[in-house]
Amino acid sequence: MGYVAVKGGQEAILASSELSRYYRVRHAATSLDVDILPSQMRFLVDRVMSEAGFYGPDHAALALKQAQGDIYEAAFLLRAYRSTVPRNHVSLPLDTKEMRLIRRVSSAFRDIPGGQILGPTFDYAHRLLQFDLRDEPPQAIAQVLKRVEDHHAAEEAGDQGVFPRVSDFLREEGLMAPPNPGLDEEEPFDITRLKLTFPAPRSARLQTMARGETGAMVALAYSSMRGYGAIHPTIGELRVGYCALILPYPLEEGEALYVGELLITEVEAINGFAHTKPGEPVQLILGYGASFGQNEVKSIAMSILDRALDVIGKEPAHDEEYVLSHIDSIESTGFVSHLKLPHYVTFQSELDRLRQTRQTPSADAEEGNR
Amino acid sequence: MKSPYNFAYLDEGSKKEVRRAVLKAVAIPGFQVPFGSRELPIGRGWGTGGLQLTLSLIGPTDRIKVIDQGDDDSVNAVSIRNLVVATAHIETTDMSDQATIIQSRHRIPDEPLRPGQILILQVPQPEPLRPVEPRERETRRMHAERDYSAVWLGLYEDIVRFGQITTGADYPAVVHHRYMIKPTPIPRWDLPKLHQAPFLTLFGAGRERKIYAIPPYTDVEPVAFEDYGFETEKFPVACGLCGSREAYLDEVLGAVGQDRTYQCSDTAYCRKRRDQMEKGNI
Amino acid sequence: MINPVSHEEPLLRVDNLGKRYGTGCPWCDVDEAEDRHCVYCGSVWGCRHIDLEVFSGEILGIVGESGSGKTSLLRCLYFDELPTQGSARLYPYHEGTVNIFEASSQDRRAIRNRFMGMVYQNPLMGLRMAFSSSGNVAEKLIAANWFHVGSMQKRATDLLSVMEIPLSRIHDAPSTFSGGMQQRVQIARALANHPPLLLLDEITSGLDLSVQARVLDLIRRIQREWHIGMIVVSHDLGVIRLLTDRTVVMKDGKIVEQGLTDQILQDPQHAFTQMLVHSLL
Repeated sequence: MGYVAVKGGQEAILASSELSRYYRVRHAATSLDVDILPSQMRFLVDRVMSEAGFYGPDHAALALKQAQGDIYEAAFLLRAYRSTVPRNHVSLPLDTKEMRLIRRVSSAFRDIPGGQILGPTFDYAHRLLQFDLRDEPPQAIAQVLKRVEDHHAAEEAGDQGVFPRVSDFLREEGLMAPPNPGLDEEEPFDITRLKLTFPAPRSARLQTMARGETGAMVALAYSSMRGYGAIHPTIGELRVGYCALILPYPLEEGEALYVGELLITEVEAINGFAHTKPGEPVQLILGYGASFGQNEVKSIAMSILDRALDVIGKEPAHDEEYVLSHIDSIESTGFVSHLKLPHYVTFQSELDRLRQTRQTPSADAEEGNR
Repeated sequence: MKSPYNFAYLDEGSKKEVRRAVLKAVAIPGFQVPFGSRELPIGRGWGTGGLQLTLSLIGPTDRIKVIDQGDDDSVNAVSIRNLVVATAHIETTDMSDQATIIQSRHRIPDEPLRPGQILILQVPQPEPLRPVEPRERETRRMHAERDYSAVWLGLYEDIVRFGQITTGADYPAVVHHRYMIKPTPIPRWDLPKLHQAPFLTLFGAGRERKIYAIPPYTDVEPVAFEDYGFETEKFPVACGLCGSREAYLDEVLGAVGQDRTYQCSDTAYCRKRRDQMEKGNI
Repeated sequence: MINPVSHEEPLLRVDNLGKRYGTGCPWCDVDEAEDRHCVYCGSVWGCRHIDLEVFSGEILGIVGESGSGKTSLLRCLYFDELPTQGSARLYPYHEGTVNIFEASSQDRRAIRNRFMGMVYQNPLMGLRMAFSSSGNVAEKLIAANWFHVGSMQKRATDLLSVMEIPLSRIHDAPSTFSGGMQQRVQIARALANHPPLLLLDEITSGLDLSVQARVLDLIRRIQREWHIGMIVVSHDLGVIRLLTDRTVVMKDGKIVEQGLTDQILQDPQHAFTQMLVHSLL
């Protein structure tokens, strides 16, 4: 290795790194056990995976530990890691119809085939801070585990039941348009390989939102619901569950391999009706949202935006370029943070202009107009 | 120090993509070529475009210089240089004349660069029309139709309101009489260096996913009017350390009650001059 | 200052112009089809079978009610929309031998900048509200390759003062002006490059009567002094009577009558024109 200029900057970085580590461990006797995060902080792990566009609960947990809980840092770590991992296979499309459900609700209908399954959710919990959660002795944990597992074993008598999609019913009745596979495209657009152009192909739009930053998307969807936009939908179905990941077997045509399962949230929202084809009767329009992990509010926001982006209007939620350009967390936080970098050369240039301007009499100054 | 990563971090496929974009950019001076920008271990907005260019172009015999605001020792320059060295093990230098590739944020070195050297500039916002037109679809059409009047209008308004053009750094320029570019937030001082330069300049915007280029010996003309020309910054004094009047200076605020001082922004240039002064060469 | 286009051909000739909104289908695509709405594909013809001419130095009026298609027609002429069929030839562009709708996008922009000026009903569409009035005029000059600030300021100031904009306000943004004043800035901007053809779309609608009168006076004065051709679109027969030499009457997307303005007002032939004339206050 040749000569490297090592001066103040280098030392500052090393010291900063050491201090970061110090801040992480100074109040703890033991190091955070990464293995507990995917269960005890599961929504955090799910959110990080979702915004990184990388499904790996253990990696996400490690990233969170390294980032000391900073969601943006953790998502960034995962995204950067993803950049280095080779792409060896392409799976078959996930079949969410065959999802091993843990939760499934519909707001559009009172009851649906298979039933409304609340599952693990805070939706109807009372938001009362439980101070006794501070100390959770192992017996208490064991009791909960036993109760639920016994109950589950008692109920189970074979498979989990059949859960046809609400949207499929509507389609059978002709009330909802069949899914549009996307006019000319066969291969989905790959946003990690190509620069997004506008108008964006639907696959590009869905990909960008699937790994979009939750806060940005929720704010935009909220604005649309509140009146800065026209979309206020009904949730046809919200599903959370495990989808099988299946790879086509490379050595034999038509064969496939089950590799594992992913926790997926899927939302199908119904947004009013319109003419999908001229001359045909009106049909319900679907908005689609999906993400890695249990990320319900983000998926609902995505389903709203999916529809909002098709509607012509002046509000931000209807502007495809505006929405898709500003919801990626790595990009938005990166650029906003970059303001912390030195900008003194450019600022010097601005000062030069300011000083010049103050010396130069301008047309307006002479006319006393301002 | 064996690295688990490929030489220069990026996989060969990614490097090829960047190089193809560079070739196209050099073939169409000033045209913004879209490319599939990869995520890197440093943040978006912190130099990933410039870094992808550097990583795709360096070979084992290259020697790089990395500066930020003209300073090799600036924290961000150190960080970028460390990343390159950690995955490419090549030599580094702070002497402009000894580098084969210079990656820089916001400055072109004051020491003149030679044919064969490559200058790589980090770009935050590549689109000169963005201040007047937020939509990419529209700006692409405007470039295709050479519809740049809105930029001149902005300068006209400055003159009408303030009596002069008030754009500081990142001053728009027309390359090869065709495409208008933003030259990155380099000060106006540096812009004339790009005109008919003997070296190649590459511009990388990672977050915005664009690469553009000024090939050697290309005309680069700052946007201006016949009666309101392009002006560079002026400094009241010479560099307090080396006495140069030919370098861009940083204003350094003194303690309360003390005067401001000025010193070279290009730290390597300044140090070289001081060394030569000591040896009695100046 | 003046565009003395001394030739016998019309400044503008429009042949069989039509604009359809919708996909069209075999049923309605046939040239003889008369209906405005197609029951099979849902398409609507904004305007259809439009033939007209404008000569230098004359003002042609286009009158019709809302929805008659007159704005559709004007938008096509100014390239805000592309027509579905038909041609238009402008004498300054290749001496009228080339259909302007087949021109390249670069040529179309040049035509818009140098040969045509457009004044919209809504000033928001024709002005950049964030820039000064002087800047609004200068932008057209810049697009025509002017590079001298002093000259541009002079031309802008001259035009704005012809439009009776006070000198003290020319550096102000039009967002701070009244409706009538905004229209006058728009006219100045449209005239920046002294185009031979000026298009005016309902420019006095929504203005007070006294303000309307002032704007119309200015238009007449420009036309007298500069001898440019104009198309004035209005639903107000009073405006048509005041300004125009010849008139075209539109209803449901088609021309139902055309001729000298005086004749049409005195002796309207078509039932619709008769109704319009009789409702003239």
